[in-house]
Amino acid sequence: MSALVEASNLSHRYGSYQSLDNVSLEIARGQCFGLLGPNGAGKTTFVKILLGLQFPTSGTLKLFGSIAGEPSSRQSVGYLPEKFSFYPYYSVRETLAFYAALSGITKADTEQTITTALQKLKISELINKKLSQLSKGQLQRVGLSALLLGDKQLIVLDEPHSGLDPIGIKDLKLLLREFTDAGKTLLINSHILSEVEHICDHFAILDRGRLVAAGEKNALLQGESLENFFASKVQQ
Amino acid sequence: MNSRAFRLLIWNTIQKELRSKTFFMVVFLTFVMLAVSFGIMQAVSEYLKGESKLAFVSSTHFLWIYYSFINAWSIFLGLMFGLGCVRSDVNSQVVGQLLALPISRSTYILARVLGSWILVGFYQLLSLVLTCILFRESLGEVSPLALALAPLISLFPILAAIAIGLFVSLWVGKGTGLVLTGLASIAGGWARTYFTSVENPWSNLGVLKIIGLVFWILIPRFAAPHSIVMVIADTTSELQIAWVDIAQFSITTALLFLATSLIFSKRGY
Repeated sequence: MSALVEASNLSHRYGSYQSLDNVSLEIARGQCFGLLGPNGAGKTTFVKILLGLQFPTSGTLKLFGSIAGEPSSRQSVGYLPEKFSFYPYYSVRETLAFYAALSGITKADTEQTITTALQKLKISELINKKLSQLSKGQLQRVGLSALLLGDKQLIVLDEPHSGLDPIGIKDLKLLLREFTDAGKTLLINSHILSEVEHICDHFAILDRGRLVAAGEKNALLQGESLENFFASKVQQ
Repeated sequence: MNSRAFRLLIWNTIQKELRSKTFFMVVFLTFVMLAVSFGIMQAVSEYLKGESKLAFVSSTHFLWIYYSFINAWSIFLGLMFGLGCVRSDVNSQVVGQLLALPISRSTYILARVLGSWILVGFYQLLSLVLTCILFRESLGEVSPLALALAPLISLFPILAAIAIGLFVSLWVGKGTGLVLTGLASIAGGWARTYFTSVENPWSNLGVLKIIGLVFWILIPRFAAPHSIVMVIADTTSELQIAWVDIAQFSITTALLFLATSLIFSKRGY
């Protein structure tokens, strides 16, 4: 499998704080990759560099073979932040139409694509509601439905369980399974180890900016629970 | 990024303002100000008629005073929209989501500037239409070319104001930005008056003089492009087109926009 995300000696500093320290890792096409670590480990910085929202102090991060940060490298990337928010006066339809246009979906196909995405997330009835009228969980579902617009090859999820109720989490799992079955690559940045253990086939652990473990799940865990493995790595 | 997405981003800039209460408040305030200033001008005109001094101040002069007033207010609006067009996205954290889409930062900035320009330009056009209605009796005395050029020339100072606003908004919010740019413009105006009026302005360069010089050089001279309209309108025989000031205006505006794009492209969100 070819590497879709490739970090080489990636470092980043916020002033005197070293948020990423010489991180090298690869995410291959079709993997479901969990990015784990305690607060301040550098997970969000890694995701931000991947999406071109931050720039590395040194090292490189490549996405689809291009340097991350170039807009073309994000053409096939879907991103769901921890708290999905957009213009509160936009309706769900307007929000998704905006995302659809930027995903290269033609005007003629937009309505049908939005309808299908909302049906999949079971929020068709929200289509004309303003974002300001939605609950946190509903907003998160709108964000998830935006990931279904266009042909996304890499889906980046930052704390995707945030704000979702148990039914929402169940639906999320099904959706993620659909993505992986369709051969899409997932990068999940999460604190909920049990969910990552259940969903992901590969993971990496960051601790204070350093990569302390990375690889295939079973090879790393060797029968141990992810919780114990994680605790042993970040305590070092 | 496709052209449809770019148009959508421009339209999104306009929508942001149209859907905020501030825009309608500003439009309302603008029309009130225009009406009040027209009323004051009428009163002054009546007074001068009574004092038999109207020969020195023609109704065409009032038209140009009104035009200058509209331009000054448009510059203020340009500044205000420039200060808010990107800053509001940063404050609401939407900028992170937008820039995570396949949008380049320069495209994003350009769309925000164009959207704000269209918005303030539209307001400017409405104000000029209102001016033409209010001063319809004086219009026959004005060169048709000057009348046609006036709204087009007015668009450039608006663009410069948006560029300044955007540049300042990279560091401070709307309120502080308005105060700072207002002070900088006043300082630039003072410096210009000083450096063009004293005999040897370069002698005894102290700190204040150097600060004044920097403002003089860096703040675009908003009124400069209007000298073209004024010469064509032939308001006074002594007027000349201020080419040097127009060049300074164009260069500083372009530099401000480039500096903003460069700084914005290096920022993390």
